[in-house]
This record gives sequence, structure tokens and C-alpha cells, in this order.
Amino acid sequence: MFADMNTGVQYPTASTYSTSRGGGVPASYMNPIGRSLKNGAFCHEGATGVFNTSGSQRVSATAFNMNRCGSGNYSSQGVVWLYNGNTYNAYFTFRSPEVFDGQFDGGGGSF
Amino acid sequence: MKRQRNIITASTACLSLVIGSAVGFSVTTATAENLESRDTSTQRVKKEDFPKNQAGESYGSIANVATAEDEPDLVWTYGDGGVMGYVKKLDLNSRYAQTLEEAQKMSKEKSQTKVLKLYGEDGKIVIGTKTLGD
Repeated sequence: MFADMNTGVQYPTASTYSTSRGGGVPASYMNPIGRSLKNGAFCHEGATGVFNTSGSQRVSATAFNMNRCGSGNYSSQGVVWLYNGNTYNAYFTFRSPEVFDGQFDGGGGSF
Repeated sequence: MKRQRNIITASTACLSLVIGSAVGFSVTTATAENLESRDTSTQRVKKEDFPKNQAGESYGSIANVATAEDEPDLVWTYGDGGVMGYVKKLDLNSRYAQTLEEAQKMSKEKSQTKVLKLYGEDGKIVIGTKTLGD
């Protein structure tokens, strides 16, 4: 799995991609989440209701407005909840490199 | 005599080159190791690495954890209005499916906004809110 953050758009996105090495998996076994952090602190996460379809090997989710915590250094992290036959466990990617976002300079809070 | 001097000069030059290469190599290696140790983004943090409050709850940043199990009990975050505080890991993860039935239900429903309580470091005093939603 891997994650990326796109700050070159109006509403910066955090995308998470999850691929099964063992071929297709049953529906709803993979749940990728996009997450952003500002200066190392958790800021936001989204795309919570995205699951893989039946037999698919790959699923991706894109969350929007990930820079909603004001001006600062943002990074993204992918989270994937995987079903083990009993419950879901979450696994995280490494964080992306930090990028400065001054779009909400002087602002802050929830948008 | 002149030939002997040339041989000595050439030998000295070769020796210098060998020593220089060795020193240069070791310096390069040391630099690479230093850079690696400074790159905190590749160092995974375990739950036991976090400090704990008086109630025994771990607290801190989730920036370098690898699994939900390693997340601290209180997750450092930006709350609504830019207030910094902590949300409970249980509250945060309650947004996600724990069973296949919940997953199927979630995938059909439109994601809803959820407002979590924002706590201080003690995990007791509520200092604000944290709104989450797609």
C-alpha cells in the first residue's frame, strides 16, 4: 500500500492505495483511509466508507480538504483497515515528506 | 640515484591515494549513517515509547506509528478553532467498521460528520471539540 498527498489542487487531497499480493479478496475486506498531519499532529482523515468490491485486488480512496488545520507543514499517511476473518486491523504507511501550505495563513480550525 | 628518487615519489603517491581513498570511504559511510539516524520519518514508534498521564494513558503524536495497536491512547491533534489537544484513540477508531456487516452498511451510507471530544493531556478535562467528516 502507499499514500500520496496532492497540494496542487484547490482542495488538497490525501490518497491511499491498497493492493492485495494474493489476488482478489472478498468484498469489504480492504478499507483505505486518507489521513493528514500538520507539524506532526493529526489533522484530518477521510474517505471512511470506501471498501473493495468483490474479487478486486486493488482499492484506492481519496480524501479532500486535508489542509484544514491552518497554515503549516503538512504530510499525509495512508491507513488501511484489513479484515482478518474476525475483525479489522489497521496498518499505516510511512508519512509522506512535509510540504508547506499557506492557503489558510492566519486561519485555523475546521472548514 | 635519480631513478631511485622517482620510485620513492611514485610509491608515496600511490600510498597517499590508497590512504585517501580509505579515509574518503569511511567519511562517506559515517555521513550516510548520520543522515539515516536523523531521518525520523523512518523510525517507527511503539506504544510503550509514549509518555503516560496520571491515569496511565499514553499520549502523543501518531506521526511515526505503524499499526493501530501502537497508537497512543490519546492522539495529539488540532481541534476545532485551531485548539491543540488530544482525542481518544477509541473515539477516533470507532468511526471504522469492526465487522463485515458494519462495513457493508458503511459502504452504502453517505459518510456522516462526527464530533469528538478534545481532551487535555490528562484525558479527563474536555477543552474543545474535533470535527471529522469526509
